[in-house]
Amino acid sequence: MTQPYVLIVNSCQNEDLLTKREFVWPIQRALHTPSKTIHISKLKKADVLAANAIIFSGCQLKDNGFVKRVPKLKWLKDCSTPMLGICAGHQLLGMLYGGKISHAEKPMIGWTKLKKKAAHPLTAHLNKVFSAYELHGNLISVPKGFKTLVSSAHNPNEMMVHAKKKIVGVEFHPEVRNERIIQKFVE
Amino acid sequence: MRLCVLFSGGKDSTYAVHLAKQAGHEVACLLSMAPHNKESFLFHVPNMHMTELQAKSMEIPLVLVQTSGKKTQEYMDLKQALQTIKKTQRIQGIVTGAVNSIYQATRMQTIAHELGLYCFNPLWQTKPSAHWHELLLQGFEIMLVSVAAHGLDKKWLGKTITSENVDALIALERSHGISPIGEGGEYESYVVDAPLYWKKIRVQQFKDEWKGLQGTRHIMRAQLVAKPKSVSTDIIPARKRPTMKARRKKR
Repeated sequence: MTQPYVLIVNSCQNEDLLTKREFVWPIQRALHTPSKTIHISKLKKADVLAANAIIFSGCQLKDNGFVKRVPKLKWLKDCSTPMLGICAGHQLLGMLYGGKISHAEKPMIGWTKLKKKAAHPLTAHLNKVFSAYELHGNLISVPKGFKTLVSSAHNPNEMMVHAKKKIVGVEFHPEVRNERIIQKFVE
Repeated sequence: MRLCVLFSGGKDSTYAVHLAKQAGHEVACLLSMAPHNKESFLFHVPNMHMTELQAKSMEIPLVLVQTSGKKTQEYMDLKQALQTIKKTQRIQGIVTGAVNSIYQATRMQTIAHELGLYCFNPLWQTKPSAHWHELLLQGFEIMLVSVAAHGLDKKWLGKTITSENVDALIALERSHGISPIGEGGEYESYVVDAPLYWKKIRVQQFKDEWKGLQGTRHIMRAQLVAKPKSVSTDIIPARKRPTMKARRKKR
């Protein structure tokens, strides 16, 4: 019998050692459970169904390659595997469910103050206002069927959760000093 | 991709060069910023003149830029230098050795964005112990050239780090709260040998200077010496080293 594992999907445009080390490995290190990694270009339904949970990584600020992959990943909506999207992953999940992507007026880079909008077990350990690391130039609207958990002065959708399915999106990078969110998601 | 590595001569930026090459990128040049201010927030301070020898050993062009080292000016100086490099070297991105510093990462990401460059941080969020052991396993020979923290006394200055020393650095994190990777300025390092070096650096003359807790080893003279034949790199095997003529042609 195969040991349960979390599948981390590298959302970067290219399968490159440098971006893998920057965006995938920190998520892997944050987990206390076994994990496997795969590049988004190779992701198949069987991979998603075989994993206990899926985490879509973020990518470089200049990299918007994931946007054109969205139409080919519609089948993800048919999978019941819990999914967490981080930054680009958050935008990707949002687009899959009908959210609109747009360029932020100014990219968000660095340590930012965020505010909880609704209570949820994933953020229960955090104060009403907390700080997180951000690195994004796009914004994603909240799709139908999702509710906003966290927002900031510049982004109303910093964290969203699906009302029925176990699908969560975070615009900030929880793998940087907010690892507990990732750990709680896979628990 | 053609990249410029922000290079201090320390362990993190030297490893960033190593990883960029290992990933198959072309390192067009190294950029070293030499701050006049010893309290620079962004840049490594001691022995910046010695990055020239490291660049020579790696056979990568070096751009060495003087900066005041004052908080806002050093940012502008770095941006200006990268803007020039983007134009002259046709780079598409930069690589940094940022590990945990949000201050450093934020500034590098911002500059890269403003210049329309990709920004790679291959050491981002690496755990200190794993980072050190990875460096030693790859064959990096790292010397501490400045110390500035309780617990890092005279015996640490000029020390070449071994696995035992790494354990001691980790223990100092628990007892004195220092960052074992020195990202808070607790110490600064100089790489005397690395898999990418064609020749090893031998420090021939140095001067130690102490001001309270802060000790600096100023390298006055150093030279490149041949490496033992058994040492090979996992990137370019020593025997396949291209001839000088071929290397010139490639440039």
